[in-house]
Amino acid sequence: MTKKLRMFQFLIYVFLFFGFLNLGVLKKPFDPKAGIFFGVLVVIIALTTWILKRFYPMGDRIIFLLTMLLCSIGIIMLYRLNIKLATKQLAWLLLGILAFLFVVLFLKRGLAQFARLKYVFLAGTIMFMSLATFIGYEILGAKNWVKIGPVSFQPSEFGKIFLILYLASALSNVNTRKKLIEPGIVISISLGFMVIQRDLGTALIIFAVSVTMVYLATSKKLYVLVSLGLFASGGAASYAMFDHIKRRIMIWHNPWPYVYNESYQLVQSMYAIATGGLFGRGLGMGHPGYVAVNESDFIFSVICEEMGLLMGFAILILHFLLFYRSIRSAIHAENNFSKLLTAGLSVMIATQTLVIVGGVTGFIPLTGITLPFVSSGGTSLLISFLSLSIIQKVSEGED
Amino acid sequence: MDFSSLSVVFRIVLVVLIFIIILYALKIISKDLKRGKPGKNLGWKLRMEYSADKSSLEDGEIIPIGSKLTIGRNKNNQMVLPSRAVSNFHAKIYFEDGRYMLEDMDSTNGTFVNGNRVDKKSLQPGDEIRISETVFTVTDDD
Repeated sequence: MTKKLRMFQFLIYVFLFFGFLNLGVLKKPFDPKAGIFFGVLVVIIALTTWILKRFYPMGDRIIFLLTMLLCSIGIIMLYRLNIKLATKQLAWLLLGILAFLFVVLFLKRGLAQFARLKYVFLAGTIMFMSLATFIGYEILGAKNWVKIGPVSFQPSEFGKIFLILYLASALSNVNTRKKLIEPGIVISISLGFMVIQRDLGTALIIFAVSVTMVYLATSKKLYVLVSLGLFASGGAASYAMFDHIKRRIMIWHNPWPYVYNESYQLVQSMYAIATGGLFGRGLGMGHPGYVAVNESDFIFSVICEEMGLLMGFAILILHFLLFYRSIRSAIHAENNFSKLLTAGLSVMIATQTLVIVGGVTGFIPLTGITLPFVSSGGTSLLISFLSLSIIQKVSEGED
Repeated sequence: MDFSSLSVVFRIVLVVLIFIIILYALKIISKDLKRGKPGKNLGWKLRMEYSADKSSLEDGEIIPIGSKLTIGRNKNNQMVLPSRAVSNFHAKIYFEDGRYMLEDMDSTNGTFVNGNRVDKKSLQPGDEIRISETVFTVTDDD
């Protein structure tokens, strides 16, 4: 097992080596910065794996390696797009891994004790979900950013985590229908705020996560059907009420009549994927400049263009494996709170991937969210690593 | 000299590499589909011989022990036996130092292995465990 893992780790280094060698030769004579990036990433991976192995040999080490592979693909692409952004992303990655290690090493055993903090989580959920409605400002059509001093962040990213924490503790001992009323209200309030802030992607994720967690806690199909019914009627109502939702559906249904206006972003993204073909055009050979927001929301299209559709498939497969490993640790968790928490967090990461990849390929209506671990974006990366740290913690098995 | 056209070669190298990595990951992952938690325990199971209440578990059902299995009437146990003669936290089976141990947790009506009431005992394949009316046997079959 250990030997195989070491080989796995070594293969990741080889991948990184060729990736950054490629980036290095794009500039004449040779870009030494690419070498530095390669070195830093290898050191990060080696050190973190060593720490995990040294202190928690029973933990799942594949989860971390899969994540690092996703981050590596992201950083290689960002480096190609904009070295400054890649440097920033590397700094956030370091911070994310520090947070990850902090939680894994210093959170004392027994995650279940946090189930008591239900109302703290409830307050956190409502606060972060509503924050952007009152003091937020608009970026790309969604009013979901908040600026405090020099730092700007998306409060709904934190809101999601708090909601999952709250649901895990509220649903961990559900035995009567009455106990479902309070979580139901909290979910509806969160969804309502997301619709007001026009953050439809996050609304979709919140919905998927909540339905999954309620089903896991109650194992009653009825609730799933009821939620789907409510979602359909809510969706229809907001379609009738809000113009931006109408526009999204219109673009998704047929993007071609509006190529130069509303659906410009989507069409450019589809062109990019199409010109890339199976193996892509090669790093530095494509025209990612045509794709809007190519460093975060549309990074999947740019990766497909330059590194190939097969690399796009690889990202989806890696996310799938990550989801499998996370759910596997949820199954082995010993109490309902940890189980629900881990399952909720893994579903969150997985839906986020499906929603954004579906969006940029025109499979479902496009909503602007980040591709976990790959997209540039500090808050998103930090939140993803925090979720991962909880999953990693649970994978160790509590006793 | 301009090497940037080498990207055309590198793109193939990168795609091939990532799929080798994925195949490798699958190979590691497929290992634990065969066993619950690799290396952590022996993967023994319990077979339900006689289920007293018929509510949740059926006769002949196989229950993996994993590294720890708690048995009792309380819902927080991993194996819930709803009978009134079973204590809330009745007994637990856990893997320690290469053996499976059965420990009675001060239950009212006791835990029996091969007909004898026990407090703490290491288990062998074929042992018969009785809690209230419910009977299981320990098995090491795959």
